[in-house]
Amino acid sequence: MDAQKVDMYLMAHSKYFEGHNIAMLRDAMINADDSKMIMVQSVSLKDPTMAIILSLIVGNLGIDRFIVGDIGMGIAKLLTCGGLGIWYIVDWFLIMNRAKEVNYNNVITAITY
Amino acid sequence: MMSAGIHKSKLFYLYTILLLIVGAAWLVWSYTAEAGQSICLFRHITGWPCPSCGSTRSILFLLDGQYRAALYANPLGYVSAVGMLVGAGWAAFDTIAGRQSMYRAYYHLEGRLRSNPVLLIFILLPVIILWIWKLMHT
Repeated sequence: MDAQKVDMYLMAHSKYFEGHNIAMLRDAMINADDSKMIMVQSVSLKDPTMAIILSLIVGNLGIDRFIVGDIGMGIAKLLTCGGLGIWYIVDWFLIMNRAKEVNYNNVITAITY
Repeated sequence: MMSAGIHKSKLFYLYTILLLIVGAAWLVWSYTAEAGQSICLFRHITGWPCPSCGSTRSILFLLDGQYRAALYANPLGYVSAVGMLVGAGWAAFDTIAGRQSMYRAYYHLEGRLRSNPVLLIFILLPVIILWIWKLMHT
């Protein structure tokens, strides 16, 4: 892919990815075929800010985990009322990075398939 | 959640066992506690019960053989109880047999749900209905 387009994409979406993944993402995108750009653009990215807001407000119901795609964890969190309140708090710190990790995985998958 | 150096599958079983231990400890503590302790932050803040409120009581009823009371306290108690039994049994089976069938099954199922978010309706709708029923009967 064209390095300039890749850089533009990364600049526009920098908040959706963890810092240490951006370099790998850039490499993967540059080495990929131009046709993959459409695939990358169509990947639905989870907003880390939305995730942490949900985590704070309704984290007890596991909704933050459902949003990032951790269905099993979401159900477990729901059934245990936010992991007896403890998991509820722990996720405040975990959920943003988890959302970013999921975004990275999804984009990499879109590139390599 | 990944820690450097530990394989994802081992982490899966670790968390499962941790969850089961904490759950069991919570049940033991609730059984011996004087009055029903609500740790639900949602309830403390809003005063309204969350969908799983009453599930601890429900499981304790189940252990006591009172199936009707368990259902009335919270049907999700049945789900949690089954989940704990299946989780414990399956994890033990996998550990003894040296296999990772539970880990694979879990992620396979989750993958299916992720690619088909519509299926979530079958999980969320009953929960919402239960919640509405619970809110109406507070």
